[in-house]
Amino acid sequence: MRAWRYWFVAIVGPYIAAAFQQGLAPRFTFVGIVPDFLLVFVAVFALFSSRPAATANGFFAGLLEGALAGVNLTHYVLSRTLAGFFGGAASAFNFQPNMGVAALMAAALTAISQVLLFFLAPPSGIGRFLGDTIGAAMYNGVLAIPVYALLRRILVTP
Amino acid sequence: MKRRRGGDIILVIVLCVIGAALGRLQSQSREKGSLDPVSSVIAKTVNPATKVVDTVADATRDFLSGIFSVRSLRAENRRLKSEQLATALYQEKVEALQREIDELRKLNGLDSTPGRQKISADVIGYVPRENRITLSIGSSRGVIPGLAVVCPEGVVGVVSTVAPASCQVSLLGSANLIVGAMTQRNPPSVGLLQGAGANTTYIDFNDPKAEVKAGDLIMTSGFSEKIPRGLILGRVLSVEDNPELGQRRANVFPSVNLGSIREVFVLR
Repeated sequence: MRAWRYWFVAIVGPYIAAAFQQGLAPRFTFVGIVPDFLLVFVAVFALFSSRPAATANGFFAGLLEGALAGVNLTHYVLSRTLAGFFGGAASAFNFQPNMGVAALMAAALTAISQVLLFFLAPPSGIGRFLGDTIGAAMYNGVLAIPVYALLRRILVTP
Repeated sequence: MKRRRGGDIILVIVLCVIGAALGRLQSQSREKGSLDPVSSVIAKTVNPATKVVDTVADATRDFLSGIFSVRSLRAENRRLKSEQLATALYQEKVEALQREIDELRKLNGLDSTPGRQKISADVIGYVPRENRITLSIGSSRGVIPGLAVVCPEGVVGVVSTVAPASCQVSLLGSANLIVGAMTQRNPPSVGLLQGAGANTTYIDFNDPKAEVKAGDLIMTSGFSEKIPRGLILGRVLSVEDNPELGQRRANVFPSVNLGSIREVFVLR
């Protein structure tokens, strides 16, 4: 893995994901479920990076998402930072990253960050929140597959 | 290994503390109706890229729909052109009547009604989960917190925070947004419309015998310095009575389909 490519993806990736989140996410809404491009990037990038790098990536993703949505920054920064940390910690299991793992990672991190958001800012309807969380986890999992293929091509291909 | 894990946990704690501090700064700025410096810098940096993504997505969609429906688009274009001419005539009449109202109000020592000036804006961000949208205009175009944001179907929401080149709008479904509302009846029943999630709003009438039925049109009451009277908010879905509180509640479905709007107007 070339260092400059890694840093390029680490810096430009969240920026592009944030632009996609603002511009494309509403168009990609499926049965009321909105994809989270930033979280997908955090999950997939965690497969290629160390725990501190994944944590820092989660922090910046939360900052971007909270600032652009105009919502409470604390809630988003905390939930995404911890999601990034857990994503980076998953490398301790020494599994071989592939598309399936990327999809599972995105789904798991979506669920974790949503649960953290649930405790930080309890929503009004728990049933709907659970439905949205499960739907978003599946949707983000599917989106993680092409993102993984792209990052693998950039970061791993010699 | 242990030391490294300890270092990682310290990093998480430091980042969380920074996040909490940024959240506090954001709350303080929001109380003043402005955007915090960090959010402002992020918005300024990311919004140009969002506009590019938006333009490319729109162009692709238009190109594909253009290929498959050229004939109907031509017919629609002709119809819209004739409708535009008719609307222009109607608009002139409305403006003349509005000027007359303003002159009469002036003679009676009253200020002119709010919402006379329409500032067009593009929707550059939509967060359904948080019931917020971001618009492409800000304080440099005279936008201030509390102004109504509308589209041809009715009220979209109210401006909550403003940066020089963008602003955040709380949508009608937002739980922290309360708008003075009334029924389109004679005499109208007046209450407060409040959000309860996406596409869910309700209006509480303090009069338990308020005249309201399912299907009634709900409009802004105009009891505000910034939101004009008579803007369409939505239609009543159902009516519930609460005899203990002496209240009547009407569940209202917003008239604006938020998923499809791209351009809006801020009423100043």
